Amino acid sequence: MSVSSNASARMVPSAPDTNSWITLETVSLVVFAAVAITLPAYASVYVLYMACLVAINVIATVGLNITVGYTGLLSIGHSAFIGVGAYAAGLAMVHLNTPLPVNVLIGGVSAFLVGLVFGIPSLRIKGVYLAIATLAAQYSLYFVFQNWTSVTGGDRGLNLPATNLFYLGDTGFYYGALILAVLACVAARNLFRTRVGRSLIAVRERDYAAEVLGINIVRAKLLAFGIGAAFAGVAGALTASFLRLVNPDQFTLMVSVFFLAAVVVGGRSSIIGSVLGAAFMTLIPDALREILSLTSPGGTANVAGLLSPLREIIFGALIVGFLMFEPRGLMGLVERLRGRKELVGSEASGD
Amino acid sequence: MLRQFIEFSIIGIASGGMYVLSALGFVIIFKATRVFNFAMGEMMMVSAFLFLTASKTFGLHWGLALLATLGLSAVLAFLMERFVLRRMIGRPVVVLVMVTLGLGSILRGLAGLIWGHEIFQLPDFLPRAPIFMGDVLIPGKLAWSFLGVAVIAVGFIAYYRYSRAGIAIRATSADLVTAEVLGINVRGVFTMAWVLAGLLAAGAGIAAASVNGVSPQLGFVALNVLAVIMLAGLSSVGGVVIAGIFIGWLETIVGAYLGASWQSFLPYVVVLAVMLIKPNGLFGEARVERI
Amino acid sequence: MGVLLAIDDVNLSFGGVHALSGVSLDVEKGRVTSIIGPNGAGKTSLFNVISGFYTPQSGSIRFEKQELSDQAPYQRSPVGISRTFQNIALFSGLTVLENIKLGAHCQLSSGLLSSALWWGKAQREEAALSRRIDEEIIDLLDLREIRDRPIAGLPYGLQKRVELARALVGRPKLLMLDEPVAGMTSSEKQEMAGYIRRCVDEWSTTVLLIDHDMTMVMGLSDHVVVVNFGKVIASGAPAQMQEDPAVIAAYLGEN
Repeated sequence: MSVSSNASARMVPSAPDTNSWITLETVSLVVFAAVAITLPAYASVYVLYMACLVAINVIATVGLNITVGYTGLLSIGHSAFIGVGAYAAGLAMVHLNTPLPVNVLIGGVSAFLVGLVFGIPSLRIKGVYLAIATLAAQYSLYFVFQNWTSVTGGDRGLNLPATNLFYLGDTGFYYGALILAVLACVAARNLFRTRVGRSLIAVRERDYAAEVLGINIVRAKLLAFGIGAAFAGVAGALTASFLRLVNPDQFTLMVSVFFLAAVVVGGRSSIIGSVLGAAFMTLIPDALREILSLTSPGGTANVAGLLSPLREIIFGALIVGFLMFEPRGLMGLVERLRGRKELVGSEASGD
Repeated sequence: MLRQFIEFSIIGIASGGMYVLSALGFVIIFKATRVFNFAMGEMMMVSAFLFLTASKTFGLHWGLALLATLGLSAVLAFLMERFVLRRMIGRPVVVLVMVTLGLGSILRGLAGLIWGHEIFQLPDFLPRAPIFMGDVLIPGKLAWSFLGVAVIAVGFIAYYRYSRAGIAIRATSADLVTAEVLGINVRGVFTMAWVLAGLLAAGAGIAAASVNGVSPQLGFVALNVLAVIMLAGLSSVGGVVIAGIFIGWLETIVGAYLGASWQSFLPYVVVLAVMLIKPNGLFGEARVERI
Repeated sequence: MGVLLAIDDVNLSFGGVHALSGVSLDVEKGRVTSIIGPNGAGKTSLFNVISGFYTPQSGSIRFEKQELSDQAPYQRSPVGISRTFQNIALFSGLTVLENIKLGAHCQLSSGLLSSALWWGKAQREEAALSRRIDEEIIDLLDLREIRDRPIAGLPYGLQKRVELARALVGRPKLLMLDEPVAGMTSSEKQEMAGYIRRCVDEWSTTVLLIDHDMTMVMGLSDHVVVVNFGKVIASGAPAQMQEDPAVIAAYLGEN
């Protein structure tokens, strides 16, 4: 099968090789940092709420990008692992009254371990088996959340106490989520400057060549999938504290498709892309609700019924559309706008 | 006691027929294009809704409605191949599979938008009168839908084995480049595989909906079908028939004797167990990789 | 100088088709051994057996007297075996430097945590490797200009050279080259032969080579092994092989 050369995708974190200190990257980074830090001072409750959601979703998206984008493993059950993290953290909060940092750790570790249960059998074999196993994880974990009533509270879920981080209430939580999101991005970025990250990309592109170079591909895949699940677990723990509620309907297949869309829309194999994708995808449903309530004559009741199917259509269309027309996602669009048309990393068949 | 077991067994085998059709749809696309089509469940669901609309809203005779559904479902599959997957030939398999997932999400959303989220019962086109085999009672709907499914499955397998198109699909599956060199229109084969899968999805969707009704969630039976395909091996047409019937039987027996919660876990247990013990399935072939 | 790799009576078949039958050969340390033979003779199959992709039904492969057969493919790089592929197997999404760095994967040791932290161990290790590549490999193979370019878009000949660089950076004891000059122009071929020669001379690397280009094979090799239909039909010094009747028959038979 021939390799289409126009379907190019930049798969490498760009190495800074310019000497000038003031680049567009540094300027936007400084502006972003300034806005992010000062946000609670002037933002409304709603904006701060959305900012917290974006921060949490960034963590989950970066994790999924390591699995799907960098390593080329399809995970369809990301929201189930977010759920594992959320329930584990929620239970710790309810029964042990643990603080947020501990909850985050518990969420990450538990999702990692549950991820291994699904990853170990499926990653020993080449092919789409991980996708199948993670779809199984999606359904069966949802089933556990819903039916293990004595522990999970069934459909009503768990109600959790408020988190008071840095004695700042909601603002404190925002800073906590922001710090974790930044840490997640920096850690992921670092990973792909070193041998560990390189080996994951090598496994995605040509597993047999990676093996010849001494990379244990089963271990590498398991690591990539485990990191993805752990990030999901951290995001889940944060979600639990943030919403003070954990119930099964937060962790459906649609949510997993949401995160896949965030990865694809932002740009596979790009950390900044994950941030953009997570922000874009988080804001879309709200923008959609606003547009619908403005245009719909039936009022809010009518809107609610339309919202869920519309979301499914939009998430799906974004995945299909971006993969077809801009495989590098928003990052690709940004680079195009800046006039960078370099054809790098043409996407060869990874079969 | 024994009679009850036989009754459950027959019900299980009959419901397995629907899995066979759906799994054949997965396998035919996988064999021809190496794409694992995660939109198969949604294609079934849409077909069931199309049948519902044709027979209830437009008041067509069920035979005509069936024909219309088969046609529309094939057209839908054709469009998905022609305008989306065809344009992505040569891209990594992960990307193609993600695209099918996206297409599935679009179909599910569209169905929710058009038909809502209630569960609709299909009009009773199958005789309801139970059939007695000696002492054993078989529900009429199930028996007749099984018969319909069996006819489609046998027709499909015969077509796949003996027609030129079927042989072309098998040749492409064995070696794409050689098939192309031999003058097989590989793109035509891809389209053909999708159209056949569309027809199978129509049969499977109507069969599933005629027993349990239809809602946008119907596509989620795909997990059961995944268990079937895993057990059979991703690329075994013959194995799918046996595995489909077996899973249908096992599911009913487990549900009847151990309870519904165990039934829900069954597909997952089968999927993981097969991966652990025999990744190529019971009937699949191990491929030698060329480097 | 002693035998580095000893292949003894290896048999490999795929469902009744014998790819290799009773193949035995020794690769001597510090020398260039070439395997020649018509297409489909089993040359690449033999490479894949040495790499561990195919498991032979019988026979033994010993590297520095250690049996390799029960080692997984990824366990063979750390003992000092590296190779290139007939169809270039670079990672097109990574830069030239990153590709070459992957060749030294086993010599680096930073784990998940130190990599994620970057400051400290991981950074030192990566910087040291970059420096070593710059000093030892980049100049040796004239890759200075493309060092930070992505692989995609590089001309074929250069890609072949990057793959050689990647195979060399780990300082392998045995370097296996699968058709290093296939599809090249004659000036590129000469260049590549020069690079291979330099590696052998400067680092005394042991080379096992497959190629169809007789001028290059005869010029580079110390020892030539001729295979046909999965069997070794002759072996000896290059000049000797050119006159061997069995070899001439095999090649004429192909034409």
